[in-house]
Amino acid sequence: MKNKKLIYIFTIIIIILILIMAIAYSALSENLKITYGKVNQNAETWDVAFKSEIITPTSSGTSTSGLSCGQATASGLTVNIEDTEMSKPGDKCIWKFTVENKGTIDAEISSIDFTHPTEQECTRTFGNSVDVCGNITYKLLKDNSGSTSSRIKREDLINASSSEEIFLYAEYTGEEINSSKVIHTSTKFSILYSQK
Amino acid sequence: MRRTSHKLSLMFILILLGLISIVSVVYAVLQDRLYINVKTMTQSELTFDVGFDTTPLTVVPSNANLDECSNSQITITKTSVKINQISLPTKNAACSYQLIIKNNGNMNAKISAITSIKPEGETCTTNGSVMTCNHIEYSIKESYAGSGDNTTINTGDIIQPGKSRTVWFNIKVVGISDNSDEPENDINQVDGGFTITYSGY
Repeated sequence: MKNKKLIYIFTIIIIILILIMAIAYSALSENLKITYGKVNQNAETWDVAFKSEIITPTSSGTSTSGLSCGQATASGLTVNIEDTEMSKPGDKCIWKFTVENKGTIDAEISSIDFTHPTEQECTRTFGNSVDVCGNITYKLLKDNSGSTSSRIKREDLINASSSEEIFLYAEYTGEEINSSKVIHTSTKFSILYSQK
Repeated sequence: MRRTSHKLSLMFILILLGLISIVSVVYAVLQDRLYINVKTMTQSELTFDVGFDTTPLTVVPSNANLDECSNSQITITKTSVKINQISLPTKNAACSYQLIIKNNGNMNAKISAITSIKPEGETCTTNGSVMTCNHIEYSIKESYAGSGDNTTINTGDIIQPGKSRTVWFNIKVVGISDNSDEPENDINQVDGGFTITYSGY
């Protein structure tokens, strides 16, 4: 009998705990006001995504032909870059994306992952933000300098209600002679943003 | 009693699992994974093919009567040029051979080294694309000997893809200031020339 009472009490405590957590997190997509006396606390929201836009890359290099940087479409959590071609050392394509934090919680990068092209293994450095695949080097940077010192990295912060720019910098850096075209498909970066 | 206890344990486990699930869901909601997909990245063919055309275009002697220039044979490979044998009779005598350096690849080609090929048995001094060996100067220049244009080719010079550069392989008598210096016999030398090395970028 005594046991039964205790169990009821525990159950009630657990239910209360669940209710508190539910209230705290249930409104991640809308503003709730929790009123306690004279203090109003806005409920927190989480919303990190690319700014929706069509991105025209900048290109440079010595190629008079054979340099073609694909247009990118950013929407929600994904950027898709169209077919791109480079032909000579020094050729570059640079895409600028904007990551927006529309939520009320500061976000930070907790990991950067790189999926190498189907056809070729790559050398990954700097926590995957710099990757060399054959004659092509990919860099995820905070500016368009091309310098690895401005690479994006873990714990980079996007404050709540602000945005940051990310540059994908692809450059023909190798000098390995190839007598026919080499096509890389399905290269992918993923950046995980988490609560700071 | 035992049955009640079993039921209670089961209830606690369920509640605990429920709590863990809630925490996981909340944690997952506070993360977003952003993707950048590159559909295709194509590396065009990369070819490196630069060097001399192996046929000299024009032979220019220092004076019209100097048959030695057309009689002398030069050997040209993609990366080297040398005269098999030269015999120059008087001061200021010279033979010039026009050559073409052509970049048939699609990479920029940079001259990374110019190495002299010393004539047999001679001691020479070399400065870039100019080599002097016992009164005979070998050079690779923009113009033929006696033209007044002494522009030499140099390391670091670049030949762009699909472009050519016309140069002259000049062989001339030097260092003879008056008749008293003039050797009694013709100056003969064998296999003097240059090797040019290129790098791509």
